[in-house]
Amino acid sequence: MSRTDNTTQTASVQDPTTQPARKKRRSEPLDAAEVADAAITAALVVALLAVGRVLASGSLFQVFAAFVVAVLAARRRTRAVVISTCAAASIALILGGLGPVSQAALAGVFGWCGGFALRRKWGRIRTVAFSLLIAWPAMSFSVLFFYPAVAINGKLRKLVFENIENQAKGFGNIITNVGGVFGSLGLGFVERAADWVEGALDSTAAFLIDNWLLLIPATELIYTAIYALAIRAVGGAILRRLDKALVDPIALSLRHDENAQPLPVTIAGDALKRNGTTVTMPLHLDIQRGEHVVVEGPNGAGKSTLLDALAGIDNHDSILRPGAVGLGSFGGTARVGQRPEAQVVGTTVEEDLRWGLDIPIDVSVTLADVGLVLPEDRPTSELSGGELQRLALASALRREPKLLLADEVTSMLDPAEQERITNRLNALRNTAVVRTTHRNDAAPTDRRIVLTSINPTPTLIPDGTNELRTITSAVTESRLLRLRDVGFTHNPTQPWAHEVLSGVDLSIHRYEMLMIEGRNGSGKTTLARILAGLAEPTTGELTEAKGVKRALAHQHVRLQLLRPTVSAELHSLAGVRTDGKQPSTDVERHGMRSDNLDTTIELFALEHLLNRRIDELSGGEQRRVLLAGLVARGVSLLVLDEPLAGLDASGRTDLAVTLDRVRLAGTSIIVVSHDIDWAPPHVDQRLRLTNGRLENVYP
Amino acid sequence: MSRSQSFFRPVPVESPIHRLAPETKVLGGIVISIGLVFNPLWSHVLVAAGLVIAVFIMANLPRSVLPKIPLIVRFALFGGAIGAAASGEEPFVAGIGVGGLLDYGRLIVVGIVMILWAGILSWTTGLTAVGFAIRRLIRPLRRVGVPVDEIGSVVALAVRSLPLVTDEIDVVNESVTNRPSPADLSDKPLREAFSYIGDIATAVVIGSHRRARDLATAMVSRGSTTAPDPHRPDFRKIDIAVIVGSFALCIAAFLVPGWPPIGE
Repeated sequence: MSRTDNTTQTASVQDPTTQPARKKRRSEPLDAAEVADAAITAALVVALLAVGRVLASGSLFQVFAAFVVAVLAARRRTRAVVISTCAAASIALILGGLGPVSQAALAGVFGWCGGFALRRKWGRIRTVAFSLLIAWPAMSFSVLFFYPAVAINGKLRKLVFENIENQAKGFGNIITNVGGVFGSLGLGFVERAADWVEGALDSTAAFLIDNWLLLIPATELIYTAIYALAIRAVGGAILRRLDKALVDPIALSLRHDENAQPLPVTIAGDALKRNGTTVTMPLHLDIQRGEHVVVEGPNGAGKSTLLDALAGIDNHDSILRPGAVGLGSFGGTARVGQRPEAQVVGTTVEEDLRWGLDIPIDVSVTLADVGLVLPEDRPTSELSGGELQRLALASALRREPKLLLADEVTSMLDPAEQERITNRLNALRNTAVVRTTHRNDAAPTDRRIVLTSINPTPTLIPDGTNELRTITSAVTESRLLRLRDVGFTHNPTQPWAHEVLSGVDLSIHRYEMLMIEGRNGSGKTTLARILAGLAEPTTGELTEAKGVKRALAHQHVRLQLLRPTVSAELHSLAGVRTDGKQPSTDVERHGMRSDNLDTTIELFALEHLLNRRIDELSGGEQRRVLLAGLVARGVSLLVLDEPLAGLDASGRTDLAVTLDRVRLAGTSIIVVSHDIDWAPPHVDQRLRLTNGRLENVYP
Repeated sequence: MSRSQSFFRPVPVESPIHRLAPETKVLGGIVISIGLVFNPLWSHVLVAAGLVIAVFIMANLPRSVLPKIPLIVRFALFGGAIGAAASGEEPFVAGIGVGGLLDYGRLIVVGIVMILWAGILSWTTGLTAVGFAIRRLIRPLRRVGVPVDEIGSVVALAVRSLPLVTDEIDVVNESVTNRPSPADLSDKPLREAFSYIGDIATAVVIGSHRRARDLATAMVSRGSTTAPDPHRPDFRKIDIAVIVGSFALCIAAFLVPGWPPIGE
């Protein structure tokens, strides 16, 4: 794991990677990667504790919180763990009071111990010993003294103990009375047994109360040891996969340069790399002051890599410029990356605009520059994708940069908004603009650079069979699902109830493919969840044919894939044993599933991927694995939520081919998308969702 | 759109409680809770319960915000009540010892009051406002060398990421619950279940660490890892009055002997 490099101030062309990576001192402030990891860990801990409070499997989620902190502790400095834990504890305090605070603090202590041991690759005994040394006192202290009222003051303790005594006595009384009834019926042994239980209850309660100062630490001792071993096992497994899945970023360093000189910037025949792999052809490029350049090319051709290189984030060796990049500083280089939710850092609109800028800002004027009207205290988590993109762009423009790098910044905008932004960028005279796009826009520009992919994506399914391979399914009816006058209201009984769907009529039959289009906020995600059986309509009628299995494929496929390898994942999704043996029960169904899985692997051309790790696959391949697994499980109706997001032309073709395979397996498909420009071929019906109502576009 | 849990979703109504500065609500709630937890006597419990109900009514909150109590918790509460009632402790009412039930009731009321305080805060304050309040409240700790700016940034970014992270946990959770059980698929169900738990945790961690990397890149693009200082909220006279009042109540809770007196 490489640490990100230093934060030395540089005034000239400087390549941070050539400086020896120096171990950070304990007291040095956190760098960007550490702050981000600490924050995400804190958010995860709080979310896990909160989810744990509402679910029956709650305690499992609390153990998860410790795993998450262990991962942080294994990869980052103790300082990051401490700060993350403080943040999580203070949010938890306000979220739920003292209980969650102690849970967050304990997750921090346990996680830190576990992570410390993992980093040093300690064995079980050493790990447990270390945890007992550090975490056991903390845990005992927390239970005994964290609720100071319990130990020091004693009034609450007295109340709790009285209740324990009362419970023991009360149930003892009930048992003796019942025993007495049996006794009077001549069953004396029952009465004696009841008396014994009563006595045992009383003495247990008395024992607990008399020895609480000893008993609590003793219980915690056992807990601590179990926790430490669980963290070692699970945390180690997470780390091993994380190292493969996440190449530690690109040297992220902050350099505050007063006099940024990012232009003219030159690349003299170097091929750019990402994570150590060459991704572009050797490039010859120089960009002058005020020049406008459009970079085109398919996914994976290195467009983002080129922009990141120009931003000074990566590939430092290949870029020549007269002075410092000045990324993020006023009059320096501004960068807006691809995914909208990943570009915004502030919790409110106003905070986001002020982040990193020392100059005073008039929020409404800055927003008007990109055609936005938003209240300044609006939380950024409530903004749509298009609003986020424009907010990030507003913040970039406010820096009056010499060089503006815009990576697909209009992908979530309406055509009219897109034109407005394109015109705004074209009107910049003193700023060099480099932007990427995979749509054909005829915007005037000084130059177009077309990148071609050097590693053509081998994702397209090889030509296989085109015959129908119906997966054995229990459904006999033709109509799988019918919605009549269906409506949905969020939190119907609560004050923040709001209606998102109404009067929806829809049927889907076997072998059909439907496409439902709708803009953000039209209720399409809710409809997708209802169609997939993950939400119940609040009004109207939903009838399902007997034996229908429904499933939802989310936009972020990676989150739905759990096991490490393709083969393990397919077996898990389909419910088939990996060892090839027969299960002890349910042999017939297992055999059927196993046959289904074999058919599916052939149909989706997955044989050559079976031994690959999930994290090595491309996005398209991951989706293929997920859909194949669901088909093999016998899902008869598959709903895809936003499968088109971020796909270029070849990605779409790949998706279309995959969907065709799903249909060949006899599974019906509903695609829900915000993109109205493209539909997979063979769509039987296109529908449009507008403000919660569904209408036919054309059959 | 979070499904399993909505964090700090203020009820869209107007009320004097909504208008209080978030710091006032946070401090007031903590201080009064301390007074109660240290002194769970009937007199104190009833005052705190009355206060929390009064605040609830003042906040103009409809009864429907109150969460439904899960069936299993209701059964547990009911079972506890039976045990407590059967203990036959003093005092006797109509020949039945109700002392156990009274003690039980007192403990439950303390619990409910604490949960309600947290609830009222979350129904009247947005999560972002709470994030700002935390950052302002820790600021004085700068004097004793606490890295306030770093904690502040981490709090801000954690608050910003919380809805996204919750959504991810929901997706993973759904994916888990809709799958065939892993224990049926192996001869060593325990071992299989354990590795499955590891896989689930990995899915959550990998998803969120991708987010962390995006966040780091976004911060570098803005040229700063430090969240800008939040604006001071408009502290009004009423805020100061509420804070002073809460502290006074807390101190009074310790000084007033209360009723019934504790007999050792």
